[in-house]
Amino acid sequence: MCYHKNHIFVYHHIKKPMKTKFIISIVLFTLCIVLFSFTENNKDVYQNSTSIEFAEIPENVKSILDNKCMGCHSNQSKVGKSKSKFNIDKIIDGSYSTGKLASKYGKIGKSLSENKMPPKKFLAKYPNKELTPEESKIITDWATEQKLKLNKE
Amino acid sequence: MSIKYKIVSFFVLLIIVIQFYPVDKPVIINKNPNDLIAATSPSNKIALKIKNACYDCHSNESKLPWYSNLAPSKWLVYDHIIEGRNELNLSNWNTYNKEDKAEILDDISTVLYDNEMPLKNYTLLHSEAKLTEEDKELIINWTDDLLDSLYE
Repeated sequence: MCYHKNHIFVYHHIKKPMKTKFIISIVLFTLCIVLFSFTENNKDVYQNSTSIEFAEIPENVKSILDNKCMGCHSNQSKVGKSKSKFNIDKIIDGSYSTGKLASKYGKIGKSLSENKMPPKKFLAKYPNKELTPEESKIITDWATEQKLKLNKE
Repeated sequence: MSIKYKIVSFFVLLIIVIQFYPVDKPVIINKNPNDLIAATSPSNKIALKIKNACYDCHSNESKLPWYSNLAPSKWLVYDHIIEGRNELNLSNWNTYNKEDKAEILDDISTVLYDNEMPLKNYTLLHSEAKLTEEDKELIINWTDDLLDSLYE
C-alpha cells in the first residue's frame, strides 16, 4: 500500500493509486460488514444471556455430537425435520430460549435411553454412526445435568 | 339365487355381524378442570383453532362423528382417539409437571411447523381442523411464549 506521495501527481502513476484506493475501499467495506455481523451476533447473545452459560458444551460431548449427530441435527443438515426438531447449532449459538433448551435436553436423554437415536434405518446405512454405550452415557449424563440446572432456576 | 344377490347379501350380513365386534369406546368427559385452554386462557381465536384441530383426539372432549357409530369406521376413529390421548391429553394439562409441559409445548410447535399434525386423513373429513400458515404461526408463537413463561 506504500507509494511515494509525489507519485500521485504524476499522470502515468495515477492508475496505480486508484487501483489501491479501490482495493482499500473494498477491504474497508468487507471489514464493515464483518464487524456489523459481529455486533449483530453479540446483540443476540446478550438478549439470551441465560442460554449462553449453558451453550458451552464440554469437548468430549462436542466431539461425539459432531461425529454422530450433527450430520442431521445442524444448520448444514439437509434433513429438514431432524433440523427443525433439534438443531445442535442452536444450542451452540444460544438461539434456543431457556424453555426450549430444557425441552431439548430432556428429549436427548429420552431418545438415547429409549434407543430411538440414531434411527435404526439410518444405522443400517451408516453403521459407524452407532453410539457406543460409553458415548451414549456421556451424552445422556451431560443432557440430564443441563436439564436439571435449567429446571432448578 | 343369482350370484349377484349372493354377493350383496354376504356383504350386508358381514356389515351386520362386525357391528357386534367389541371394541373399547373412548370415554367422553366435557368438564375437565385441568384443561389446557382453561388453565392458560389463550385468545378466543387460538382457543377455537386448538379445539377444532387438536381436541377430538388429544382431549377428553372428543366430538364423535356419525360414522363413529358404525363398524368398520368406528374402529379407526376409536383407535385414533385412544392413541392420541395416550400420546398427549390436553384435558390433563395441569397434571403434567414443568418438564413435561416444556417438552409438550416444544412438540406442538414442531409438529405444526413440520406439518405432521393435524393428520391429513383427519383434516380431509374435518375441514374446520385445517390450519392455515397464519393459524400455525399464531399457535406456534403462543406455545413458544407459554414455554418461555414457564422458565422466567
